[in-house]
Amino acid sequence: MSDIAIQTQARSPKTSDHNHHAALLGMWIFLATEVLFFGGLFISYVVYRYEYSDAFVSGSRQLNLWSGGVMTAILLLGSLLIAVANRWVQQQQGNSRRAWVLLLMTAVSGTVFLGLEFHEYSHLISDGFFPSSDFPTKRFPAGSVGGNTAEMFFVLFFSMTGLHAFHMIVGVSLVAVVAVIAFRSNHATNRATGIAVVALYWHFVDVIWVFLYPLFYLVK
Amino acid sequence: MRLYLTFVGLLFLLALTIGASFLLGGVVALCVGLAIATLKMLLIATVFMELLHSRTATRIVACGGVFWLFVFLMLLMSDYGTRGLREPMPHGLYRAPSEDPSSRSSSRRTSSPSVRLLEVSRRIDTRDGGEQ
Amino acid sequence: MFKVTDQKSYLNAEEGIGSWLLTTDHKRIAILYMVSLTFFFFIGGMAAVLFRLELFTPEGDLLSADSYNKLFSLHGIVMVWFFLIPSIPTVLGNFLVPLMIGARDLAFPRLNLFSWYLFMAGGLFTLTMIVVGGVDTGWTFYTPYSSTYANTFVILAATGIFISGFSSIVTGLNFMVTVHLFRAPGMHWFRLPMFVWTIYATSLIMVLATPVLAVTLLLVATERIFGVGIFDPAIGGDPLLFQHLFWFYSHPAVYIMILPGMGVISEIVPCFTRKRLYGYRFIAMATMAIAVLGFLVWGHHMFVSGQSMYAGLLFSFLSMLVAVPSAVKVFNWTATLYKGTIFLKTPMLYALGFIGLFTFGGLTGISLATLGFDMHVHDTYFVVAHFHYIMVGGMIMAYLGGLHFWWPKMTGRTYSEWWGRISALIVFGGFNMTFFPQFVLGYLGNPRRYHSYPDEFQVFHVMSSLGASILGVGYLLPLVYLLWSLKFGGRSSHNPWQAAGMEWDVPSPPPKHNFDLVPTVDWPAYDYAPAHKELTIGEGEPEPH
Repeated sequence: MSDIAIQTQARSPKTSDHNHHAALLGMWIFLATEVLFFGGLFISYVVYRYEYSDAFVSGSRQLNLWSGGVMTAILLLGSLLIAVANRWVQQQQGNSRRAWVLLLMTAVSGTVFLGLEFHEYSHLISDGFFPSSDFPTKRFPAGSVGGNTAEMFFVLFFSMTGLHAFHMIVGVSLVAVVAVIAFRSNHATNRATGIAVVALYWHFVDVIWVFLYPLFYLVK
Repeated sequence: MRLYLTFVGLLFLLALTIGASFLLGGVVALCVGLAIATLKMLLIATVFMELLHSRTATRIVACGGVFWLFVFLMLLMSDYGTRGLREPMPHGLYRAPSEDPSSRSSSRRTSSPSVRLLEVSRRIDTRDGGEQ
Repeated sequence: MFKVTDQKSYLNAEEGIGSWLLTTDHKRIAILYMVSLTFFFFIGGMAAVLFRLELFTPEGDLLSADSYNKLFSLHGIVMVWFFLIPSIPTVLGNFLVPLMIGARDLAFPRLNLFSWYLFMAGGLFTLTMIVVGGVDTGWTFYTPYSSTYANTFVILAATGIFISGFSSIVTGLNFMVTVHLFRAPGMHWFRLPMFVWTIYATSLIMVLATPVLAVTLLLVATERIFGVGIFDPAIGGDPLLFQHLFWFYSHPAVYIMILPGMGVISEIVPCFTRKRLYGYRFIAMATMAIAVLGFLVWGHHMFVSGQSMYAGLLFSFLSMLVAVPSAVKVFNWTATLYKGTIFLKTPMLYALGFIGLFTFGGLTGISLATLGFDMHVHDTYFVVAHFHYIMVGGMIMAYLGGLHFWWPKMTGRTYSEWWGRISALIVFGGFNMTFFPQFVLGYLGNPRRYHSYPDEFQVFHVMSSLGASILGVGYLLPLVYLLWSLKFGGRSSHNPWQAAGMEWDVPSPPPKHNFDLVPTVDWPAYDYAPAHKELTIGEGEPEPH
């Protein structure tokens, strides 16, 4: 990620433009990697949901649909903010110096999202739904394959949202760094590539949550 | 302006998916939920991530990752979808044994997984025996 | 270590150990990788020496069953993730790709250095794992053994592989962006040397497959730590799912290992036959086809695991399909040899060895893709022999061939041709003596991964162990004479083999900035003219230093 500023290339007169494209393509390839990284978990989700659909319905009842909805909305807001900031900087509009405000707000929105998510975690953990040998199997209908498969729902829930939360933490830190750089520097071109690359990452993390939300909170 | 409109569209889709989850159930709900999520992804990718205006290589990369995951999923389900099909072994990964499920919490970590694995292998053994 | 020449090259542009450890020059990073990979190769090799010694006798006398398990796991883990997967891409690829496409460096030079540090960090975890007691799960980490029952250092091993996995993702990403955006003017896709094509295809696999391995190992580690996990049968988890996820990476990983080897061969064969590569576009397309099809066949590792037999049929069919592009390549190399003026220099000997051994390994692969035959030889020495024909007979031959081919370019020195040829022959002979008996052993039913075996198999095991010691000599020889050449070898001209390709246009060793003028390409790849009578290639400048 730190390699946003790329070594100059002798061949092209428009070196910075060329490097900007290289950084964007590099980030897109990295995002394709991330798709497959999360993909391993999405694949597991599909397999277990296919096998134990009842357990997913009963597990999903323990999650707060509305808090999840608010979290989704907050993430989408963050995406909007960083997209606008990116647009300002790329087009070098008059207000491009103010982009750092939007970036800071993006980071704040990400922090609020994480706060809500950890709040939900603490609720679930205090109710005993964190996967362990004390998992309250009896509170779930036995269904066709036994209540213990509800635990699989929570294993998947915690690992997938947990991995997403980790990406959020990285994203918030990156956006914060980019915001500070944007605040300090007066030359829009210096920070344009950095902001564009971080924005791509942020949107990607957002897209992951867009899928996690219906897969965990909206199972009926 | 397009950015703000997209954001409104995304919020509308979010409301739609929550609403749909109250009205629908089962496989239909899953399909609708995933369809709406896909729409949201397309909006974010094309407008926010500027995929519409990027180079061909970038677009190929963006589609490639998702497509590859889809291929992976299809081939994987060729296993899970047909496992046990027209075979004496019952379909499904694992059936809970008839024992009382409350007994598992105490002894599970030590003996239970192996016991259950044994049970599955015993079932395979009897099946093989039956065919001979 | 390297002698100063009159012109400043990348080797002496800056001095001191710090200038090496903080370099962003792709050529220096290639050297860093070469040194570290050689180290890991000998660690993995030592493990092989020990268990081949144990297998000399039918009884388990030299090693206990536990230490035997740890040794073959160590051998697999180190050789796969710390030698074979990074070998050609990071050493030859790093050095040559920018030179071959006429670029100043890779797209992200600092990221390139970072990937070496990631690799070393992963290696450090693996070395720690070895020192504190090893791991006995095999390189495949099958659950539930690895996640629940194994009492060895699974998490340390998994962490090492996880980190080095990110190193290969970063490397792959770097190559892809470089090949897309940093080609010299006029260097079209179909003017690229085949080596660049194969590195590109390899990068594609690295980028799309490695993350799946990373997340799988993460899940195994989580399951070990929390006691509950996604593969845990107690909550309805399927241990087979682990195998699916693992082989979704690890089968394509086989192509990460072999594709760059094919690229090296596609460079060596035209040079030493003085002919253009036959069927350039077919080979390029076959390369991409292998990369893509290689993803669709992982289920052939699971024929007897309890996977659905219908899926088995599908995977069996798809596995047969991969043989088609592989065969296209072998036929094209053979057609390149046809009526060529063949110079049997060291790199060419390795290349010819590669073609033969790869063909043999590939054909036995088709046998293994057949459901019925696989039931018979699954988990026997037949499988071991098959993949060693590809990995050792194919990949390591190609690596050594490439190293000998480009050694004058990388170091500016020429090695002893006589010793080179001898060692190529020793490697070829030793290899066949080691692994051919294992085909027989497997067919007769000797299962792999046991430290003792019935008496009637002893003759084959003894042959194999003796062959392994010959192979060991074959690997030690290049280490000696190549290092020797650094100090005492003759100076190499900029193009000792009179080869085509832009890497030969720059001085040997290349200057730090690669090209004085940005080249404009208006010639096709492999621009070889038929050899005239007096042509001699590979002669260093006469006076030795």
